[in-house]
Amino acid sequence: MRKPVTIFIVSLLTVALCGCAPAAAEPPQKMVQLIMGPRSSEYSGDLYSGAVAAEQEYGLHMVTGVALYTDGKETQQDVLTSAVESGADAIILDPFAYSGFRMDIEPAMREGVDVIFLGHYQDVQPSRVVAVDEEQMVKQIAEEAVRQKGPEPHLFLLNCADTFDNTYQLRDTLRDGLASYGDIRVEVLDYSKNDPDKLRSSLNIFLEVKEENLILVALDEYSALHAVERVQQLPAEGRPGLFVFAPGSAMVEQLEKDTVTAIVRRNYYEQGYLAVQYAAQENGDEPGEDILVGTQIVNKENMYYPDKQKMLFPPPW
Amino acid sequence: MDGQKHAGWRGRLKRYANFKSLRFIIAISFILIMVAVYGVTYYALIGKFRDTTQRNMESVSMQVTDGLDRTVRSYIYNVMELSDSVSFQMFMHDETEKGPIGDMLKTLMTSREGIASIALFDPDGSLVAAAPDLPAKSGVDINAQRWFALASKNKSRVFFSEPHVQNLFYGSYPWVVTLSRNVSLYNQADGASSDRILMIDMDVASLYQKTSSFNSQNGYAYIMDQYGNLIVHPDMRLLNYGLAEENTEAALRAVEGNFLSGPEGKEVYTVVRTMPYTGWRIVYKNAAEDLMVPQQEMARFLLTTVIIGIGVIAVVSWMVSALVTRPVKKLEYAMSQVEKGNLDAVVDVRGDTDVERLSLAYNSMIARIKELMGAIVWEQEEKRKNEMRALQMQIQPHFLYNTLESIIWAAERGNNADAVKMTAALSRLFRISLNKGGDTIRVRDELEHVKSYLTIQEMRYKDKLSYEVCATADALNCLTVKLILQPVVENAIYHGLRESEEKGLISIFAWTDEDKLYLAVEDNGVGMDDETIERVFSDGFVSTKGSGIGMKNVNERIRLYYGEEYSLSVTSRKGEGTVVVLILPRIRENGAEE
Repeated sequence: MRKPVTIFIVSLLTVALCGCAPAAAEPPQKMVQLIMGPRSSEYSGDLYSGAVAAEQEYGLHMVTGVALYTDGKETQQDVLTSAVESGADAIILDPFAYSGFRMDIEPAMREGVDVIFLGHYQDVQPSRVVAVDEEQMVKQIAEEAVRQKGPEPHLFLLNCADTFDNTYQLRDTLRDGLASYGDIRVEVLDYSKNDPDKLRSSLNIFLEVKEENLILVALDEYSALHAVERVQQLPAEGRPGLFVFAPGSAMVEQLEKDTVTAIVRRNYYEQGYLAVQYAAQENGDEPGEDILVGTQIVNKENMYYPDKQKMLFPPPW
Repeated sequence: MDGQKHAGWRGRLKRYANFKSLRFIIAISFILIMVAVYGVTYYALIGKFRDTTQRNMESVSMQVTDGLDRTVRSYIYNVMELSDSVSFQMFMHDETEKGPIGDMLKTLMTSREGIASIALFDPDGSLVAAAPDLPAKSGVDINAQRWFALASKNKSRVFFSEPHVQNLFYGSYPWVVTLSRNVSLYNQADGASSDRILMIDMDVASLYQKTSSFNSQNGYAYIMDQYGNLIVHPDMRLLNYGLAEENTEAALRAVEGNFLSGPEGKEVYTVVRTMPYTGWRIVYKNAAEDLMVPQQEMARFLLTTVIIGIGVIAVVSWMVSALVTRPVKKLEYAMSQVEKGNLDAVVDVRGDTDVERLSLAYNSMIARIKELMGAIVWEQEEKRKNEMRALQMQIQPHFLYNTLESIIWAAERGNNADAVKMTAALSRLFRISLNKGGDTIRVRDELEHVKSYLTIQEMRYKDKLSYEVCATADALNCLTVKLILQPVVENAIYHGLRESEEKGLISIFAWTDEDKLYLAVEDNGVGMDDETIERVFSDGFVSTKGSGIGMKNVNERIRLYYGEEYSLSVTSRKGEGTVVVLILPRIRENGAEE
């Protein structure tokens, strides 16, 4: 009789323990490492806010590592390696698009860590890419350019080389994307903050021609401020179009004053949010399709629409 | 091998899970009763706990909403009071004495929290004064703004706009709700009054700061206007980008009250209050799912307790039922042993329970049955012996009659030697027959006995009969039922040889194998056909010659004494002779040499 009774008691305790198990089986909090640039730029600020919102919603533990501009490549790699060693479940990386440096994410992938890139980076294939829908962005800019300056606009891209805004990739995307439209002419100016004369002289050269179909496209805040300053010096009539990739209220004021003719608003908040949301999920090993976020063009006509207002002036909490 | 294993565990399972056993019934009854009791208790407790949790949730939600209500109400009253103050000050204002209106507005604004800006406009929309002192944008059509138009048309009312970005001033784009009203500016000099439109921008960010303290892990509050436009929401940005959803419809319909909504397990407890003046709804939502976590933990604890409790009771009831049914099992086992024929199996009785008293009675009954069975066996044995003796007694008169007949015949013919020889043989024959009253004799003596008989018969039939005896040493020392060869030999003489015209020969053989003794009588007489052989062994056969009881008698005695597997066999061929083989067990006399 002893044996069956023992089996019975053991079974019973097992069942009882199973009853208790769900209480003890709370999944451990996931740790996510976010590697990004300084939050001083609006781009990074929005990205970070979105990431924090998702962190709170999904109950993650997010650690933010800031890669400094001066030695960004090494710092990003260092932070990534350190995150893997400290047991991160996912790493969200906003990779600097420097040429000649290839981020090594293999150790992290081998450890089963989800590596999520905010945008494409060279030919490195992470677990997932959360990026701006470049095709849609280019299309919208092209349409807005045609709407403002006729069927053959001439776009002059101003790219400050040493900002945190990671604009090299944006420059290439726009240059190649807009050029593919055929009737759109695209030119690029790369310059450094240390050489403002280059920007000034280049702008003067372009503006002196007084092309009716000219649109300056400032890819960063620094370029936008300089372009605004230069355009303001021109008479109201015959001003070039000015598209800015800078979402601040200063640019909204310039939009109201007709100095800026369009604000290109990429949704970095959503990008940060979706990246962390993806990190919170249980993901397979195979990389999936890119998670894309949209871009909106705000112009004088639509800037007071509620959806544009909400986007231009997000609540401060 | 597998089959044996299965048989093993099946057997054990069957033994322990015999659903008809008393023990199982007692145990399962116990368990079922306790499961029922525990089940009822469990559901009663869970229900009670759920009710309590729900009441607590309602209570907490109401308390939070009360606090929220007071905060927002206070804020609205404060703004209303501010607008009244401005209105009053405007009426009493004397610019020459008290300075510009703008200073007055700044003073009033700094004395209040949560105000983004205050401004006075002429009815045509031109700015009269504003605080803080920000540059007004040119080209903004104030008249097109709804709040301005409403206040212009309705002089006695206060209006609250939908939430919007205030874009009247450079360098500032706050989200605000604008209070607008018509105020009168009294001119002290001429006593005339003129209309102005007062605008007070209620800072949404500030309002959020005031209400955010009511948000917690379980619940959150939001404010919307009477049209469902969200003014303050903790996830405002997510909602703006479509990354989250808020169903404002139910709260908009509710006006005032509280309700539970959502699917089971994900219920949300919602409290709605409507604010004065503004028509704003403050909504507090408490995720029942979160509040139910303690209930789920409690349920899990209770469930665990119940399972363990049922388990303990199951074990105890199993043991108790074992205790109760043990005497019954003992009795059952003893009965099964008796059923198998073991009358020595008695129940070991150690107590004085009902079942144990029954066991005692059973023991007595078995003892009595055993006694009776013994008597029956003894009686049967005696009966068998009596039958044996009766059969032997059937033979003895026959011998005596024949022998005496022969002696008489020899004496009449004056053949004294033969008479003496026959008388001696007869004497030897009887001596062996008597055998001190025993049923069995050695084969050696049996052969001696049959030789005495043949001696007598040989003398009777002279040249017509001869015999030979051949036996192994082992066979000679075996035991046999006495007087079984003589009837067979007699049968051979009367049915085989006497009818034959040739000189008859009777050969007697005795031998053994491992466990049997064989005695054979062979003659070269006329033989028998199958029909005669069958008739000789039939129950009704009575020989008109010889003793008339020969073969059948022998066969019955063998079977009676040794059992059914031992018997007599006859092989005969018409005209050639007969062989009769007696098959007996090989039983050696005690002390006999090999």
